[in-house]
Amino acid sequence: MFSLKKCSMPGCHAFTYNGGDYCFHHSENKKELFQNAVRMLEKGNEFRNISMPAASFRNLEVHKGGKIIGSNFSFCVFENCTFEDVSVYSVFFDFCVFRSCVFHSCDIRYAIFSGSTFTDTIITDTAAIYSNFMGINAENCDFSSNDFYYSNFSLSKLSDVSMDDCNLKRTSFRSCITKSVSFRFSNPEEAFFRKEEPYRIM
Amino acid sequence: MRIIPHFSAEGLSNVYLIVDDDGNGIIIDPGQVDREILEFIEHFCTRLAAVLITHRHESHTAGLGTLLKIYDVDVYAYGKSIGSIETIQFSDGETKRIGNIDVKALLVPGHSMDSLVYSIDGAIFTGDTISSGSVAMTDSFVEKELLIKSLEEKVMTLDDNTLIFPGHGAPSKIRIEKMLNQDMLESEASTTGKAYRVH
Repeated sequence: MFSLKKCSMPGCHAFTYNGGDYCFHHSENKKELFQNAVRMLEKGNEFRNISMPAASFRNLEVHKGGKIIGSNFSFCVFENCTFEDVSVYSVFFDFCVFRSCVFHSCDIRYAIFSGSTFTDTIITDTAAIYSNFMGINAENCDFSSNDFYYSNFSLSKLSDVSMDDCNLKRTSFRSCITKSVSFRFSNPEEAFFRKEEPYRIM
Repeated sequence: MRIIPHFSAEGLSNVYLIVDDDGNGIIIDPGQVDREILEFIEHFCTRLAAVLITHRHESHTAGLGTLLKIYDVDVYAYGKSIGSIETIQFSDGETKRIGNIDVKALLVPGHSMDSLVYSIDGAIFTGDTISSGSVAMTDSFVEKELLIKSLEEKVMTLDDNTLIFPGHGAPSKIRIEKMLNQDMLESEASTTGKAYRVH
């Protein structure tokens, strides 16, 4: 897991980059750290225990067969990024923006995507199990042919999303707002939905 | 420090292995001790230092006997014993040093009267008290209120970046639960009379 040590900069509550004194944004060599991270993601076999919140990644092609483990990408922006045949374990992607990204044939476990926005993004042939998609906002996305066993989409807003041919056993869609979402060849009867009004508006 | 989650198919619960920089391991809630968790212990730990129990329910303790047959290890919990196994007791707010790790226990009753949340560094292990998007089932409304009050006072006051590792389901963060935990939001709305919306 990434270091849970807090940044030494007064008033900053962010986790340090990799156990040093400062977080990614307060590190003097921020540009160099970012370039190293991109190099590790694109060329390395393993990206482990790094915290770099609120970074912007564009046109990133994560190394095929690579592993991303115990890292923190909260509030990051991913645009035109490809994750193909990548293992993602215990990684925080909460409150991120994914625009025109592709996750294909990935193995995702214990990952956190809560509060993130997915636009024109494809997740296919992927196991995304025990993962947290709570409160996501997905629009015009293809989430087909995935295993979402025991994942949580509660309070999320899914609009024009295909979830065809997915395993939805124990997947939670509690108080989810759905518009033009298709579940063809999936098993929504094994997922959890709550039928009450999702929220009250004054 | 490493935090290694393991899904236990029996009881659908999470078993966590925490390993400090010297290889001292702590197991949290051994709901099931299978080959994979034993391989994690053997691979990552030089010794298993402790077992922490969040509460006495079967889905969090069923593997304890198996673990104690293999390892000579101290068991920590709120109660004096788990079945016939004696424990080292934690009281509310107490911090104990296990290996190189400071473990603080917070009593959060409601789901069960012995429910502890363990705070380790910037992470909390919540057992059944809170999981992503919901709080635990309780036997009555009184216990539900007690649980929510305890969570509001002791857990939701922690730093927003605190990581949450629940006994069931996916991990989360305090920030996420403040914004999206429907049970907490509903409770707040019912007591303050203010409506909430999440989108």
